[in-house]
Amino acid sequence: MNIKLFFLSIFSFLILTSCSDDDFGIPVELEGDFANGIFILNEGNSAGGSLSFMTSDFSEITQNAYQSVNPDDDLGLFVQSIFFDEQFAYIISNGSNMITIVNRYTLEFVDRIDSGLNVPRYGLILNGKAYVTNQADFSTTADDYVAVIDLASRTLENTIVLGNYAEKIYEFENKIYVQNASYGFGNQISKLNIENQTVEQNLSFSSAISDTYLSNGNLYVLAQDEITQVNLTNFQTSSTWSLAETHVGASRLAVEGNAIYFTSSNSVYNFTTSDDTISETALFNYETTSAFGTFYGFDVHNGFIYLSDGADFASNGFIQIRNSQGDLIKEQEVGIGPNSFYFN
Amino acid sequence: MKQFRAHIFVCLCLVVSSALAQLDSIQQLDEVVLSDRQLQQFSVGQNLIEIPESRKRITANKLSDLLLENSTIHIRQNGYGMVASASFRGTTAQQTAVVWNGININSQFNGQTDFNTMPTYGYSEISIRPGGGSLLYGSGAVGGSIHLNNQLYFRDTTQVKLFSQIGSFNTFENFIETKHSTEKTSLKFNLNRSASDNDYPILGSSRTNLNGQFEQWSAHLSFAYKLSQNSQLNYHGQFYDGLRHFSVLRPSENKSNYSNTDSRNLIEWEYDKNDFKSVVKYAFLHEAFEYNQNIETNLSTANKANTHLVKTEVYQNYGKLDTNFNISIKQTAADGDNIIDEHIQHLNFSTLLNYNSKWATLSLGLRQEFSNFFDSPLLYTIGAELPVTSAYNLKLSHSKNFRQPSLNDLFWVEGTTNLQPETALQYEASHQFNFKHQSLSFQLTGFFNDISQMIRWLPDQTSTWKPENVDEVKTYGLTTSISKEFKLMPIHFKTQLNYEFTKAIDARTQRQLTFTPQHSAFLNLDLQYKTFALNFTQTYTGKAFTRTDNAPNEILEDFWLSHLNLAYQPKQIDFFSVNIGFKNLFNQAYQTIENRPMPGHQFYVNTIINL
Repeated sequence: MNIKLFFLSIFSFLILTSCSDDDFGIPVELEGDFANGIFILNEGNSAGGSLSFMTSDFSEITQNAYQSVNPDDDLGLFVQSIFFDEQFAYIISNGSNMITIVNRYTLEFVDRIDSGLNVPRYGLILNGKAYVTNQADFSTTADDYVAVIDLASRTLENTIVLGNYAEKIYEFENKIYVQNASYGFGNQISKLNIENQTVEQNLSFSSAISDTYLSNGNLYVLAQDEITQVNLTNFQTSSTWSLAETHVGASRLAVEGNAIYFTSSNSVYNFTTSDDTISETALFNYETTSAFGTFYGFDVHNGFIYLSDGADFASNGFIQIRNSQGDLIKEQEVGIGPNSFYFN
Repeated sequence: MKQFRAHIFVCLCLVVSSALAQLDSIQQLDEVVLSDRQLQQFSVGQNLIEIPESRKRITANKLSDLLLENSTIHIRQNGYGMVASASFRGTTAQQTAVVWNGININSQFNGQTDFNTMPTYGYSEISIRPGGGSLLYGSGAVGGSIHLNNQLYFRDTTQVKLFSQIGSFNTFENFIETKHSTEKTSLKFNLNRSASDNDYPILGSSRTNLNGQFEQWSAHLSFAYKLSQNSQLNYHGQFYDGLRHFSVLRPSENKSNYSNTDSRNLIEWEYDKNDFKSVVKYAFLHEAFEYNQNIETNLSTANKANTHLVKTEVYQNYGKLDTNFNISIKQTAADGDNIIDEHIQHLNFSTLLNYNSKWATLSLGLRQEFSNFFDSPLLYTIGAELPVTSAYNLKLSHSKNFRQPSLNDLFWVEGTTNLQPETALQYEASHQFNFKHQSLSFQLTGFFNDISQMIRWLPDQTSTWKPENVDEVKTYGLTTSISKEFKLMPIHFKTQLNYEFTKAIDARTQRQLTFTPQHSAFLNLDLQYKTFALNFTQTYTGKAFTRTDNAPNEILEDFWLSHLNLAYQPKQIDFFSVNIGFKNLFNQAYQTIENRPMPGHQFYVNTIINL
């Protein structure tokens, strides 16, 4: 096998696995400047958010990628998250109550959904419909809802009022799960029935939930005092790991295969699903001056650990990519408040 | 349009009914009731700049506009008519004290004053005092102080003044004032309304300013009564009530609004005999606001604070020596949806000495404050004024000033009660040249401020934003002004040019503070020909960084603003005058807060009637 073919096969492996992780199958179109790489979403300040793009070999970075393609438009205030289908990326900005729809490989503007949303947070697509969590009024959780958007007309079709915190949203076997916790409040996960569009069941945890992560049909829940594995086939707890003193303040969670990673302060800890207890020795820690922006974004993908740092939120933050041993592979300045990674 | 017609009608009615009234004359030498007795006497070594009455009528009754066009104070506005703050010499909005009739009226909540809630016509005298002033005016007088005073006269007359203005974007300013005085009593009352659709086009885009409408009412009442030959009773009251919508960038954003009420009351008993004078004051300040984050759902949060202040001032003159001793107690109580129900109490002592001789005026002051939530340092001020020659005057000043934590700093949601006041050491030297025969004056002032324990809000581990005494900032720079008056044939010219250079450096990063321009300047040119007057104002605001790392491309662009006003006072009806004006003549797009665009060119016409 010649060396070029070898690299090509590794490359396509990367692309295929990255795509299957996001549950949209094999991409139909791979042409475009942003077809092979990682999107870093920068929440932004009062001037609006931005999108950075890094090639999958980490060698090149494009800042302000969206505006470089669409110079007369912007993504709006407080860009929160992105969800995808085969063709499009749906970019949510919670300060502008809108979703910007772009071609996921070229970033060309396609359309915009800007009604029916009230502080939108996260979204996903199931059977031709987008389900988007909305925080609505900050002073109450009574009005938090999931917006059901028909993607053919790109208009609001229905709202499912949760009466509970509406944050991250997941899909498994045609059921939808919502993390009912944000900003250190809330301790439930709710299961939605999409046929009659109601909340079917709630699962409560012993303390406030900081983060959740879906992997292989299991939802992992990071609460203040423990990490729980929830089997989504029966929506029951299947494993629990207690957090030790050293892990207090654990904030972000990411899972790949049977490896579980979480952050506390400026350290990352890891363990596997077969472990009984969690090691109190950190896998690594990183230098930061940021209090709130430490691990502002955190993810694990194909054996690489991705972290972002929000710095002071009034100047550019940075990302780091590390291998599974925690060794630094790449550090890169991005935009203001980098909060999440998406593997294209 | 209906509203427009109504205003015209009001103007016309007033013109007709006023035909027999007499002109307000300012030439008389009256007995004046000074509301702030310390301002003139104890500003030794510092500049005290009074903004002339004539500048008020061309600034649409907004204190933010008046300061922008007549000083190098930096004004930041969230769009026209929205929340506006002022800062001196690279300091923050909380380091600017607003003093109303001698009382510091900065909001107890955020420690600053909103300059779009202050109609300029509500005050008879507006002065600016750059530099430290905590000794006299307490918390926040670090970068400088702005003084709003209401004077009263015992004149035995009755006067009425009416001001009515209409402008672009359905902007209306209306003001009525009546003054009545005898030899023993004096009364002044005014009422002001300010409203606008405020839907100006956003320059460089196809959008208009959305959800920016506002309506504000304010009233002022001042009263003085001579109890005897030596004693007098004074009252000053101010009431404000306004509803402002906060403008949004996109129609899909949640639209919010903000209503607030301020009421301020001050009662004084004054005793004056020979070289002795004493004043006993009681002030009650009330502020309340309601913020509605989404006008469609109407789930609002409301907070209010009440402040009681009792102060005694004693003045005694010993020939060349003036002395002043003050003692005051203050209590502020807060209550609301976002704030812990708490009380802050203060007790403070201050003393000032002035020594006046032919060769110099020297001043020394000390102040110590005690509070139940934080320790305050011993504050001091030293000032000197040296008349070196008849045309050259040297002023020197050094002081220690502070900014106490505000209610929001201390008690917001969970509260952070371990905060200490921000402190600042200030040095200032001013060279003043005044060539009376040439009607020329020139001034050059250098300043340096070393500010420590600055309070900054940062998110903690649980992502809750909390204030901390973390920052250290050094601000320094130069401010210069030149003014000249001359006559060219029948035209009287008056011109003033000011320029300020300011560095405001964060000691940790060695970078310029964000949203703080280094350069600012203004030029005022007044021409008077018979009963016509033309005023031209040019302001310049330098670029300001929007990022803490001073990224060179992340800036608010510098901007030049030009304003023109033409005034006419007909000879036959001398109680009446009319102004026609253009604001932002050259349609300059500008912002003082990122993503909060200000309006392009605007037009207004107003009438002033003095009866």
